[in-house]
Amino acid sequence: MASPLDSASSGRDRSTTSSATTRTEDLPGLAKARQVGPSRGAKPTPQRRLQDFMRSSEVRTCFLFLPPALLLFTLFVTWPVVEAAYYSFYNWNGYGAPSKWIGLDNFIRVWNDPIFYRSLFNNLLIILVSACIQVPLALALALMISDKSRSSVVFRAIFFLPYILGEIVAGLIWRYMYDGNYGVVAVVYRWFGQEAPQVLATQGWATAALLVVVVWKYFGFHMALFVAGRQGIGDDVLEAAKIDGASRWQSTWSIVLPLMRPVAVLSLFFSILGSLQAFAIIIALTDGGPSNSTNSAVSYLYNFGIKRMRVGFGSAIGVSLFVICVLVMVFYKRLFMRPKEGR
Amino acid sequence: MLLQRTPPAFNKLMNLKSLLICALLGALPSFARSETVVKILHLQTNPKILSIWQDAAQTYEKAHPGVKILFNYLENEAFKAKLPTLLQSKDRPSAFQSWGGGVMYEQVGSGICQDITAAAGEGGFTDTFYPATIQNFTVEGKLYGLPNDLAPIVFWYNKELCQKAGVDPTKIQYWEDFVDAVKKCLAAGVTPLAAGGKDKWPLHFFPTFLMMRILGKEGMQAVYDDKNGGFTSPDVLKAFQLYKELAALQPFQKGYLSNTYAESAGTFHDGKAAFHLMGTWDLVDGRTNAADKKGLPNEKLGWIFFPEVKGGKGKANDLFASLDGWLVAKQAPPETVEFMKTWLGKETQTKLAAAGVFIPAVKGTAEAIQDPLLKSVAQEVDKSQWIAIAMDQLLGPDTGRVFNDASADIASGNTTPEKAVKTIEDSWKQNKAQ
Repeated sequence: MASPLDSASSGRDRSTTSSATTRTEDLPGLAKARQVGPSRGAKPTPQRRLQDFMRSSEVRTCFLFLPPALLLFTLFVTWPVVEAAYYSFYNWNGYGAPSKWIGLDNFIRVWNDPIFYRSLFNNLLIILVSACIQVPLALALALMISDKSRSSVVFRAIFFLPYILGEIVAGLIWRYMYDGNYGVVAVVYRWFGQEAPQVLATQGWATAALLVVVVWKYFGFHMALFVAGRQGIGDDVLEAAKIDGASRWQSTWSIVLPLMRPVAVLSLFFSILGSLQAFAIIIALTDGGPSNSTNSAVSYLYNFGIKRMRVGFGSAIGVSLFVICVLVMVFYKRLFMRPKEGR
Repeated sequence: MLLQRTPPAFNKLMNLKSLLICALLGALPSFARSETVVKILHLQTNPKILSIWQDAAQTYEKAHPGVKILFNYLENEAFKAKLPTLLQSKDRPSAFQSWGGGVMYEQVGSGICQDITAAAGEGGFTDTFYPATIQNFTVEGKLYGLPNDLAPIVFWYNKELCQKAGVDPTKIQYWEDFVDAVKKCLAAGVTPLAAGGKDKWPLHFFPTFLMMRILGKEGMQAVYDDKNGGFTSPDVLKAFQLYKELAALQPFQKGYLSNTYAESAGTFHDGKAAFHLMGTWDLVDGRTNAADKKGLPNEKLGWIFFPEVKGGKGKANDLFASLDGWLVAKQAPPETVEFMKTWLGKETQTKLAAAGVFIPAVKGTAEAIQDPLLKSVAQEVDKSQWIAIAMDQLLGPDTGRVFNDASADIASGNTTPEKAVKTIEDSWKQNKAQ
């Protein structure tokens, strides 16, 4: 039962989960056994096994701690998902109970909406930029400043700062910077005697501007991941390489980078996750404009479902997104997160 | 998994959930249960208005022991998103902010509003308001709410800049005259118009006004009823084409598509654009967005009606206004309407008029307004034959936003008038079918 990934968890944890699962699976068999009557053998009866199981302190702890978490999870995660799926089949504005069943119409409208695809495309752009620019940048910086010298600590703090800022705050700051009349961009252009472009008012430019802000905001976070990964690599390996005559470049290329692969995989995973969740920064920076060219999937949901009080339509977007997220995660796990042999 | 297999547990959970919500919401007002509580959900942040409201509430509470008036505030977008849930919860307000139009029709249609025709009509209270404003809260002959104030949208102009460009706004009678004025401004290096294109609704004023001037009251009603092709009718198309021609001159401030209303109001009140098509709230809200927080003083500011279109059926003084009011919720106590007679009555509203923050919907309050500009607009209200409300209100939250999107997209050149009217019509048909 326990997946290979669980090997990361401690031995004690694993024994708890696996024993709990096997025991519960035995339960139907147990009911049957009870009807037949207790069998007399050397082995303890299933009934006895159940009693032992119920009395064990681990199970009691489970019964104590499971209900609150399970209840909250059901109420605030599972239940809304089920509800959204239910609403997505109705034409409903939120008043009264949903009554106008329209089958798959909401889904057909979503899947025929060019703005929906434009939004998904923007999500894809964010992932691409993260993979091609943000992650390499973060990695390069991390390799430069992962040592414990004072200057490195200072730089790490500076690079990490944008990540601490709230998304709305970051969005607003950049909105002012990009402003073609009063912003930093305008000032810089004026130094060269040029008329500044209206970055956020022009399609294409606005998307590029958004990507810049995303990279600026999150590279520090990825850098922190890589710094931790770099510091996790033991000095002995590098020392051994040095003794073998490897240059600094060689040891970075052939030892440090391969050892940091799991961190890169994790970093990319966070990028994908972040892209799928991108919302507040877009609302603050462009609100999806101009002409709905900078929406992400989530801000599309907000602008076209919630703001327009089309609960059914919004739910259909939500359900579509849910499916996409599940697919992305499953494939990502399959492709990249399979543990290498020897781990 | 468990949920799908065992329906009883499913229902139990549902009950559990509603119980929990009730418990959470019920905990709030429970300590005030012994008395009747009138809860009013509003969006008002102006301290002048709030203090006059509070005075009215205190006066009423003194005269009616056992009644408590509570004003609850919500921010605009939060209000719009939360209202449906709030109205169907235990903690529902007795009266809440409304702009009439499509959203109100949905609310009335779902049975969450109270018919107050008789209660408010008692003693002729309904007749103290401008008839058009009462009309805004009437659905099929029944009154569901009372108006608070109205803010007509007019062309504000900067006298200095107009003079610089050689434009005399008072001579502008027809749309062609206005387009000429825009061209003169451009030639003189003056930005003709300020508009908040990021918010989109400031742009939607243009096609809406052009529709009003071309189609007139009956024509607009026909479009609303989806007769004669609705939004795809030639007259509507013409309105959008005229708007497109204006936008093609690039009359707006630079970067207007990324500017909010507040930013564009700042542009106008910093003296950087000649005209601003905006509601009377611009005199207060617009000025606070100027760099010096004061904006253009009255002597530098003038206003004109949106010009007529030659051959059109609409008149220059057909008003287009933002109309605010209060809808009464289904289970609201009768004291709600009783309190409104004090709160929205002439005495309180005259005080509000004198405070100079808006134009009350009560007749005869215009004279109390101190600000000469606001007063001159208010005086037109009584003379007007027709007050239209904003398209994004009238058409409801969905088609209304489609209309706003179209207005912004035409200005940016992202769509054509032909495509825009078709998109609006499609959305409107879909909504009508609901």
